[in-house]
Amino acid sequence: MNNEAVGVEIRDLVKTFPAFDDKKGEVYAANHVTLSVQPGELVTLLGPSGCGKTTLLRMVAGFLMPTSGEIFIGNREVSKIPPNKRNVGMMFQSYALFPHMTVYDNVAYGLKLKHMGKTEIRERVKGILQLMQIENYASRFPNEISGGQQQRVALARAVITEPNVLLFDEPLSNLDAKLREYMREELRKIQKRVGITSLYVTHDQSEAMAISDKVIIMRSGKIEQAGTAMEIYARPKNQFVAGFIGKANFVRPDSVLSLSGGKAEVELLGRRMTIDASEECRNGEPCVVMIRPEDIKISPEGKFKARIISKAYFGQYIRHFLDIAGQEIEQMDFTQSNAALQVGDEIAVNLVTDSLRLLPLDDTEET
Amino acid sequence: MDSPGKARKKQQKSEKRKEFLMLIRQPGLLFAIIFVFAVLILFCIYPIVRLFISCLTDKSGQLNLDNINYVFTKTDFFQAFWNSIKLGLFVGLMATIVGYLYAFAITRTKLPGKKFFNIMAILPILSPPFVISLAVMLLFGRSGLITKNLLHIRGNNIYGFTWLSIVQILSLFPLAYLNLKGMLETLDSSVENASRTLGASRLKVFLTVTLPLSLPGFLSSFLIIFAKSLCDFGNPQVLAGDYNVLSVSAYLQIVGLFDLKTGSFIALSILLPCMLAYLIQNYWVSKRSFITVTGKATGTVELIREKKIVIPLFVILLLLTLFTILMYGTVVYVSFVKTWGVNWSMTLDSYQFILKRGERAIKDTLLLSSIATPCTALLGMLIAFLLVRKNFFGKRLMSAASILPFAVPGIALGIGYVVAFNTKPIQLTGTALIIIVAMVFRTLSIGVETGSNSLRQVDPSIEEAAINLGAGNARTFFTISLPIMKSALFSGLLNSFIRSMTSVSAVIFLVSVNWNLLTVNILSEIESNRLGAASAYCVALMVMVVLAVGVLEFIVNGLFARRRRSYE
Repeated sequence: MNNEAVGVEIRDLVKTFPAFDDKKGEVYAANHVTLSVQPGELVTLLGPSGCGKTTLLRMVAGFLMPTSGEIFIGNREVSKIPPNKRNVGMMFQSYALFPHMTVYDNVAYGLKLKHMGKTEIRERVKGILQLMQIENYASRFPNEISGGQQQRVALARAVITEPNVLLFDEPLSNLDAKLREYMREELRKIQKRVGITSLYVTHDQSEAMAISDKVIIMRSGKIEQAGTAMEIYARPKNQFVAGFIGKANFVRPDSVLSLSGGKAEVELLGRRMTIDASEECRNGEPCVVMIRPEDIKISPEGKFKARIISKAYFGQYIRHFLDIAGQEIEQMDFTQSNAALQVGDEIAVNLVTDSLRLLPLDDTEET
Repeated sequence: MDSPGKARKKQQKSEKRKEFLMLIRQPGLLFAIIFVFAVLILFCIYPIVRLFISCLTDKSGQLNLDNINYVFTKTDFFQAFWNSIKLGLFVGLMATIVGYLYAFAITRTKLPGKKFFNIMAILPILSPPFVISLAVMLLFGRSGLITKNLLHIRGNNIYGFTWLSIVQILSLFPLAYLNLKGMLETLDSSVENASRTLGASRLKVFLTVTLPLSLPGFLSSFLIIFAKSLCDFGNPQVLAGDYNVLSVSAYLQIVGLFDLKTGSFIALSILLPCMLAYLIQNYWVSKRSFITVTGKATGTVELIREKKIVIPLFVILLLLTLFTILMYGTVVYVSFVKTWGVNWSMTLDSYQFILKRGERAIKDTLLLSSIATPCTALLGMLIAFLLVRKNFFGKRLMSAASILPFAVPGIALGIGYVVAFNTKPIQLTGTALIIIVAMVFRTLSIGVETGSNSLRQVDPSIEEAAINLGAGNARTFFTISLPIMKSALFSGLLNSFIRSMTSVSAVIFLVSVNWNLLTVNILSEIESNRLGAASAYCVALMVMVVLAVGVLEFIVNGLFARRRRSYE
């Protein structure tokens, strides 16, 4: 579309709600959040329910008023502008299609508000319906089309007015697993094609990784880490992030011998090794080592002795729970060459030490 | 350094300020809120306040309690007060029991003809308030068909407590029925099933589970009907005779003795027990209700089939229904008879009479109700929209004020309007406007309630989607919320139209030479003993109500039809 894409910047945004249980307290839904979305980028807010991601999105849309802080869309500070004047598109979790209007009228609604000529509206609506492959359903009502089609109508309605920013509030959570995977590819394709700056809320990590330029992990109203999917997966800052994106074993090292410059020398499972360390690790404070299940390789020359506690077959991989030096550790084997192993077998494994990472111990129970 | 508490207060204050700033930037919304507050204060709160002031002051506006002293010592106020309370308690109890039987039979048993019984129970709500009174006079009165012609009783006296309470029970039990039916339907039936599987007999289940669980509903119906009976003016005016009740005595003070202050005070004395009943019902009983709406299907009740339970209930319902049919049938029949009790030949004389004498009243009633109805519905939906969807200062006041004229006795509201609007700066008495306004605000809370209920069931993000696409508040309301509220709008319109057409007490002081209403005419025909004409008026009124249902359905469907076109 012809609009020049603009960025979004959120500075020191705070939103508090009064707490339910005691009258004095309050809950931070956004706790001094600062982030930026580059023009044309798709950024995902990822976190467990209640982490404040939807609140953040609704503040950008204008449905919620921030307690303090600023929101810039392009160069414009919008936190005092009513939601209908922000030129922000939004896709709702429930799609929120107008039940009393046809697909065509749903999509045309925003254009009619802009007092566009009838013929132009018709052209534009036809174009977008074709792009979304729903041109055959123009005269149907929302309750007469499938979930996936409703999804496309909602997207068409949101992008047709050429908003500066597109907001997605868990748009795929109502679809079944197969369709969800298909639609997220579609969404990404269309978003790239339209080139629209997007902020996408989800609690599904694979969805976030599949479609985002940048992923922002949130917990309790705070940003825990921001970066590309790869950065976050490979170099999480703390135990929460590591556990939320992908699977991970967290093993207490026997001792941390030295810690400096992002490297640590540790004694782990009875062996001394040098591994990467998060910048949040502090000397003298308790730490854990992150071991991803796929970074444990079964090999006859392995340095660690292990015993198979349990085993499950998942097709692409075999999952073992191993006992290594008294610790129960999950292992994923993608090689298919160890299928003959049985529960109770004594084996040897190697760790991919480059992928291990020392993280500060997280003793809060949240996930 | 600020303490954390102070900082928080500051933050909340700034948030409030921002919300206010946001409101100011939406002039439509701000205007709507101010407009609603203005009309509510002017037409709901102000007249009641003026009514209070009028009782407590003399002509020069000084505080003066002589008026109250006069009422207490020189009139039979206490007798009337006690009579009203006695009537209310008795009618409340009996109508609730009848309503409960009815509701239990419909929701818990395998009863033949449920749909028919259901419709027949609602009929008295839809009809003008005097129909049953009128029929009682025609059938059981001095020259009544049953008393005089069949039983040959001379000069049977129907005026007094007995027949008044029967008529009130018959016309008010449907309210209890609807209330209790809703309650019994939402009562989690798995509890009853559980009790049954534990080996309890039917009677035991009823006595130990169903009945205790429905007590809050029972109490709330009782309170509603108690208040309704106290406020009722039409039936006592026709049937009370020497049994003096408050609403009639307030009316007589004003119309007979031109004593507005005494009338005001008596009207106010109905208001207090009514409001009390209403408050208890709203804030105390409803909190103790066992109804849990979880949106989860909890399984169906096993309907009772045993003949020894179903047959007696069926007989009771059938007798009640037959009696209702007899009442309505009599009124329809009488409207076509030459002279009731004397000459039974069929004629259209009564209709010719009312067309000649009451043409104006019919036209005025239709016109004023037709203007009031859409106003009520729109204002009601607007208030529902504001209350359910928007945040602003004074929301509770708005909600309370919109309910006030409904909870206040009609006679008190009518007198309040007279007191408040018969002098400058707002002189409205004698105009059509004051009647329309009375109709609108008397029925407003029905519109607000139906609107709120239906809005709460609509996903708010549908409206947010419209706002997000650039629609302002007004446009969102008219293009999205209102069409979605279509069926609520329809029932709101219908309800308010019927109530406008059939209201008596609130408007009886507001009619004038210029503007007259059908119900007031019916009353005066009854008082002049022209029962044929009164019957014809009643039938005409009922026909208009039925026609209105059709017309309204047509209009609402036409306005907000889901339009399907091809887009080639």
